[in-house]
Amino acid sequence: MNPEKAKYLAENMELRSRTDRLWLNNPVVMQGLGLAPLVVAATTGRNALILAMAVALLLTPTRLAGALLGGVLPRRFSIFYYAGVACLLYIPIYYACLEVFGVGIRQVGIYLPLLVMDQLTIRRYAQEKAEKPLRALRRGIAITVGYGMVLLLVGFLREFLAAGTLLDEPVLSVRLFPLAAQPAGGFLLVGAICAAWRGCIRWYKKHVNMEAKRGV
Amino acid sequence: MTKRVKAAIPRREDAAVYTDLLWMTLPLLAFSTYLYGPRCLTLYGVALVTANLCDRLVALLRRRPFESREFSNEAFAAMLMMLMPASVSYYVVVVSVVALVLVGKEAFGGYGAYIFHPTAVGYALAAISWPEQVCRYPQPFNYLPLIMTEEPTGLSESVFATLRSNGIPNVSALNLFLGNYAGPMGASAVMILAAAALYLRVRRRLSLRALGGFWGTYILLFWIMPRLGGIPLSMPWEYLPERLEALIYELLGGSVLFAGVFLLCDPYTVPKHPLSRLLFGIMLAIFTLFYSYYGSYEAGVCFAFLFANCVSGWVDRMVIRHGPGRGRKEARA
Amino acid sequence: MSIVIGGLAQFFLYTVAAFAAQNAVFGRSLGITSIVQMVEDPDRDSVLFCLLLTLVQLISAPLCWAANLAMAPLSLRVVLRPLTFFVISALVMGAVSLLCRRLFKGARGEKMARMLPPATFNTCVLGTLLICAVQSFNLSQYLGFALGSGVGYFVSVLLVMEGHRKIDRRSVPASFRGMPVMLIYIGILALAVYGFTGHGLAI
Repeated sequence: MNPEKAKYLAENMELRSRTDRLWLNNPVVMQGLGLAPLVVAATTGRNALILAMAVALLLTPTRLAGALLGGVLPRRFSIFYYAGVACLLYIPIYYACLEVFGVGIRQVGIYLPLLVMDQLTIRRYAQEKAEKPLRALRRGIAITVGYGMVLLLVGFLREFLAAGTLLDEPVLSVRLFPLAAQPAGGFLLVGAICAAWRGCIRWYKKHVNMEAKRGV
Repeated sequence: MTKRVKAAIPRREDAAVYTDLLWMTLPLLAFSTYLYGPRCLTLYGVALVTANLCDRLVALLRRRPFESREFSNEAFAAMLMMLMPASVSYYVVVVSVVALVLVGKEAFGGYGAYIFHPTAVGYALAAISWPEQVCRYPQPFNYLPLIMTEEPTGLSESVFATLRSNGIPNVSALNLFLGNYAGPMGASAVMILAAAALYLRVRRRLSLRALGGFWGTYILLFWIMPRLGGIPLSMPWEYLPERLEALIYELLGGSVLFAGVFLLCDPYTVPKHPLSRLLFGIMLAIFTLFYSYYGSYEAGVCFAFLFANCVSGWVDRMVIRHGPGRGRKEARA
Repeated sequence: MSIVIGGLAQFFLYTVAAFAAQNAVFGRSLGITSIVQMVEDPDRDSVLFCLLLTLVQLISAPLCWAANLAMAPLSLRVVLRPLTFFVISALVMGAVSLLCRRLFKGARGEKMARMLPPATFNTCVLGTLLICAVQSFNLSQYLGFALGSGVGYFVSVLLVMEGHRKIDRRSVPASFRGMPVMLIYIGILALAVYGFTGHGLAI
């Protein structure tokens, strides 16, 4: 690694660890957000795509609306306007998902409407100060992409392990790990993925620090 | 050139428990080989090799020296094999052992730090993932080939499956005692299990309180609430021959005898305080009853172990705080 | 009289089912993020949180049943449910908050009022109410399921906190410390619960 780049990365590692919502501070792996749909509903690639589309259409607009309303309304009503906006947005989102995926959205069951009350969508209400709208937009998009990445990874992996298929197309004739389709298997897999991800982050940070020290 | 001297890795204090458990599975393995053929040997070997390789892999990943004289993983894998049928595939064995080691033991910190009995974790995972393989058993003396290219035929459900559906098993008491019925590899040899229990007790691996609490409660509960078809709800002194027959099936017909001896020897998942061990045994028997009546899988005792293990620390704390001998130094939970 | 007895029997049956076989946490992963955060935060009063959650859920249950019944002829009922249940939960939360401030003066009442929003607006409460609606439960089933789900959530929290206490953080591999090992612990308990049901729960 370029010593100057390593030095820059090492000096800004703490800031990046807080702001990077894709890798270093992924909402699922590092903060444990949005676990319910991930563990129970994301059992196939198709389910993961449905949930990812719903999150993409729900999270950022909710956060943006919450930031705009937070500048006008008292902070003690924040939960009402965050959750209320999410519930209202759910109506067109449901029909959008229905249009794209058809009756297949029933496979995710209650976990589609549950997104409106998930910490992933509404946790910003608990903060003392209202967010600036531009920041809400940026963060919302980053969290959406970060969550979507893990969602798709988990969904496709579970489908492959449990059924040997990808998007219902057969890939393997054997079922490698049928438990992956159940919530128990979901917990174990998500736990293992989080551990592996965190291990990679630790290795990366150690590598950057070593390269930075070598360059000094 | 200086010669690097390898520092001797000190042997863990209670590592001998696992060595004893491993040794005690060998007579059971011999008997199962007599009943089900040499496939039992290969399955056992695959399980031990997988456990050993997982141990080496974890040592490499955690940058720790590999402890060649510590056989906990091998003991857990051997015990898992004793709960499996001889017709199970090698793939299921490998995956179950890998899960047992990595998920049941190493994820929680490895030796001495695990919360659930790894054998129970491995069995639960295998039974849920592959019930058609783990819960169906070959007939004795119907030797299966070492490598099976297709699904084995002639498999049957266990005695426990018949009891769960309120039926009457078609196995005589003599055959039950001799192990001459379709069942798990190592769970049907009653005399060998009794001898193993005696050996483990003499070596002080098996707590009498845990053993007594479990078996006393188990016998009492299944005497009062027998699962044998045809016994209506009645007082415990009615239908005595039928109750005795039902009890014999419950004791000898499944994995309870094996689990109630071998899995209770683990020094880290069973509570420390003597009274806690008695309560743990009683609790385990109650959970086993629930799983036997309402559960969906054969060796409900393994699932019962998972629940009992997660509250064993709480039992220890309650006994120390409120039980006899308060004020003594708190046992390490 | 037989209707009352039948209703009571259903109430108890669904309470036990929601508590054990259809456990909100181990069977459906409801409220799991709150649990993972709770175990990491020693200052959070988990008993009070679970009590408030169960109370809100139980009071909201009959109102949601009535609302679901009223919405039955509507074609938009599927998309209106989350909004309707949210409004009902919010009203119930307001009422409970007033009650807490009246009954428990001072710091305790304030603490309870502060804990109400996270105890009300989470996946466990909405998830339970949605399950009842989707599976068309009657009133006694709604009440039984809501109570059992709350009690089951409380027991799950106790079990997870016991696991957190037992896990020796010094021994756990660095990558597994914190949330990953807790998820594996919960996964193994979910295996044990699955041993009862033998099949996945309807979602």
